[in-house]
Formats: sequence, C-alpha cells, structure tokens
Amino acid sequence: MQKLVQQRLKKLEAMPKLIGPVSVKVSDVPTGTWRYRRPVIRHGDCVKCGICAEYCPCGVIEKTEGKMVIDYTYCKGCGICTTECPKKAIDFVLESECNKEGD
Amino acid sequence: MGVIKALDGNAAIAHGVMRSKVQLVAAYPITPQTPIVETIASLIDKKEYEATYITAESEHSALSAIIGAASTGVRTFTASASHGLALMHELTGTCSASRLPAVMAVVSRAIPGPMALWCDHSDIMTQRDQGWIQLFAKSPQEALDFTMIAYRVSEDERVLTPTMVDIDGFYCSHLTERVDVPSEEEAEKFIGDFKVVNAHLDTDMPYAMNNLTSPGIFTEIKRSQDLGMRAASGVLDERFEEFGNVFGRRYSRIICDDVEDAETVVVCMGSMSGTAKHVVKQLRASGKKVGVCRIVAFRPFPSRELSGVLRGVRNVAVIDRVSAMGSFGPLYEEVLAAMNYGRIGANAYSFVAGLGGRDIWEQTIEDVIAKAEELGARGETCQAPIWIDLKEEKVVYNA
Repeated sequence: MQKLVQQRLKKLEAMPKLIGPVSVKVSDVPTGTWRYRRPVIRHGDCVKCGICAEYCPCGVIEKTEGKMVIDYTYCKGCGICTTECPKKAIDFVLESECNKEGD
Repeated sequence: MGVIKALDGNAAIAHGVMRSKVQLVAAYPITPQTPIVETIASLIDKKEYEATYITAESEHSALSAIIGAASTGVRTFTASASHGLALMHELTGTCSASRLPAVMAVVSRAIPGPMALWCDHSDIMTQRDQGWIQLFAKSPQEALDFTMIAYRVSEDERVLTPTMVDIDGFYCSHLTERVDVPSEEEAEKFIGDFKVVNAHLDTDMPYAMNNLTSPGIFTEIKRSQDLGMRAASGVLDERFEEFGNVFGRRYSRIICDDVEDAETVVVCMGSMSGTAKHVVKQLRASGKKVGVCRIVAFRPFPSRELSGVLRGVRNVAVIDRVSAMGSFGPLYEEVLAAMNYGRIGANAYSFVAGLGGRDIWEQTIEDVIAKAEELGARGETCQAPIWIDLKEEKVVYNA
C-alpha cells in the first residue's frame, strides 16, 4: 500500500499542473486526533486474517512485516474492527487510559 | 454561414450546447428550463447531435453526474432553475472548488416562497458566491452566444471555473426571436475541442478529488479559486473580442447606452435592460441626460469598468430583480463597492422591481429614473431599497 501511494505520488508530481483539492491519500487532516477510544491488537491472539483491514472504513489497517498494524495518525476510533474481529483480539481502550500508561 | 431560425431562449441555448460540441448532458426538468433539455434530447434523438444524455432523478444527481463526467475529461452541460438550482447548491461549490469547467444554464425563476413559476433573480443570487462565473443574457441570440463563449472561458487554463449562463424565465426563455445559429463549420472556428488541462480521473492512477481539507490549506485553495475567477475578467474580454471577430456580434462585460454626459444612469441586468434602453432613448429624445448600464458579467464583477462609466454621473439608480430583506439588493451592493473602488461620490439609490414575474414596463423604468432624480435633487441618501412597483394598498403591516 505504502509503495503504491509512493508510486502514485511520483506520477502525480510528474503531471504538469494540478489545481484544486486532489490527493492520492487523504493525509491532510490527522483524523486520529478525533479519537477517544483506541483499538489495540493483542498480537498473541491475532491470526492475521485481515478482516479488520477489510472492514476499516478509513483504510488505516495494514499487514506489515507479518503483523496487523493500525495507523493511529488517521484511525478515528470508530471501533468497527473490534466488533468484526473473529478472534475478539482487538481491545477498545479509552484514550485517557492509554495516556495514563504513557502510551 | 449560419442559419437564421426562429428560436426562443431555451431552444437557443440548446443549439448553443450542440454547437459547443458538448459530450455529456445530465439534467432534470423544471419550469421554465424544461424546453432546454427537451430540445437537447430531441436533437440527439433526431441524430442531429451526438452526445450522451443522462436523465437524472433529481437536480442534485444531475450536477453530481456532471461533476463525475467533467472529472474524466469531457465537455458537460446541465440546466436548472429555482427549486432545482437550490437542490444543486451543495454541488455547485464542489464543482467550482474542484476547478471543473462545466457550463450550466439558469433560467431564472423566483425561489420560494411564496411558490411561484415566474421570473426574478432570487434563484441565481443564491449562487453568487459559489465560485461560478455568471453571465446574464437578455435575448435568445445572446443566450446561444454566451453558452459558446462560456465553454471557452471556463476551460481556459488561467480560469478553470464553471459558468452559469442566466436568462430570465419566460421573458427570454419563452420569447421567440430571430436567432443566427452558426453552422458546424462556422462554430468550429471558435469552439475547438475540449482539452483537459487540469487533473482528470484515470483508472491507472486513482485519486480523490475534493477530499477532506484541513484548516492548514483550505484558505489557500479558496484563494487560488478566487484568482482563477479574477483571471476570468481578462479572458472574457479576449473571448468576447474573438467571438466578435468570428461571428460579428460584439459583447463586453458591461454594455452601456447613452452614458456619455449622462446625469442619471440606470444599472440593471437581464431582460429588463431592453426596456431600460428603450426608455432611455425616448428620454434622451426629449432632452433628458439619462443613460443605462447593463451588467453582463455579474461574476467576476466588472468593478473597474463600471466605476469608469459612472465617473461624473450625478445619480445612479440600481434595479435589483430580487428583494434583499433587511438590507440592500446584491447588485446595488456591487455597484456601491465599484463606486468606492473608483472614489465616485454620486448619489446611489437601490430599487426593487419585477419580483415573481411582475412585468417591468416602460413606466417602471421611468418611475425609477424620476425617483432617483427627485431624491438626488434633494441630496437624500438611500436609507432603504425603494420598492418601485409596489401596490401599497395590498401590503400588510404588522400591528
């Protein structure tokens, strides 16, 4: 995914002129700041089926280096992945709790 | 050579669309615009004109289809009025901010309420700050010509801003006049093919258009859009000139009659300008120093040009075909801004007339001029708009 985005960005840069709001990845707004609960994957229970990534409405979950990774810069904390996970391996933790632990 | 046809404003626009080689039309019918899309559908059906025609389920969908199609790099057209234009409101901003050069015909009809079918400018004025170039035609011939000019201006890479071509409902839309319809070859000398100069959707490189934009860049995108709109002034001048050279019909962003040495000048837009011109000619013949200035391009507004015309004038009478409740009409406010731009200290008076299809007669214009002269002679300022064609006895005053 990252590679694809990079490829497209390169292609976009090569275009002569672009005016108006256009992007290959919606990255201008750090929507993660809207989150008050955070999905946290318990990697020991995760079977890497990828269903969380399929259901994520923002496309911020990716399988990287053999494990599922959530991009917290853009994850709004809707919690859909925590509901859809067949192994119930994603906890939905209050941001205030995460901050307490210095996360 | 073109063909002379008897066409009403709506049919003239349909022919303008055909001659502009528009590739996709998406629309939903609404009085008084319906005959435009009916004529286009009929021309396509008779194989006189080849284009994709989408019958949308609403105006919101029609403009959405236009935005989608324009994003893939085709020349597009839609048309609406009143309620329909209101339903498009959300998308008119999307279209212009995405810098898509679409063209829309607006056949002005009062926006509710009360519910009406007839003309005033309350519908198009809801769109004045939505980032569309707005051209006001007064006759079927102008409606056809402005449609063709609109494509060339909107698609110019300095502009990339959509255009609304406005005609007055029934006064122009259903008025049959002699219209010179350019032949395909003749039109080709002016119109050319649509060339994509900005981003367009490509399956090989998918990307989002009009995506979520942060406070960090929103202002700059709006300013870029404003610069495109401002550049349209010069581009309109160029295209009016080129159009005149090809077809012999000359236009400009403001069209003035008898304004040299005039003491009182009427400023107006749309179909009432013909009546105003006629009245001014008659008053001139009786020795009165009056003139008329018609605004053709309401957006971008020709402030500099107008202030040049109004220099030395004693009274300026602005007629808005829309009521601005609690304030002044939009055209009046533009004229005041233009006068401030040129440091012009003339008396300016705001008039409201012709709402919901009330006819603007010669008498109405005469009343406007007389009132402006009377107030001007007394040196009075304009404290509120003057409802010049009001039936005072029918007005209900709150207890």
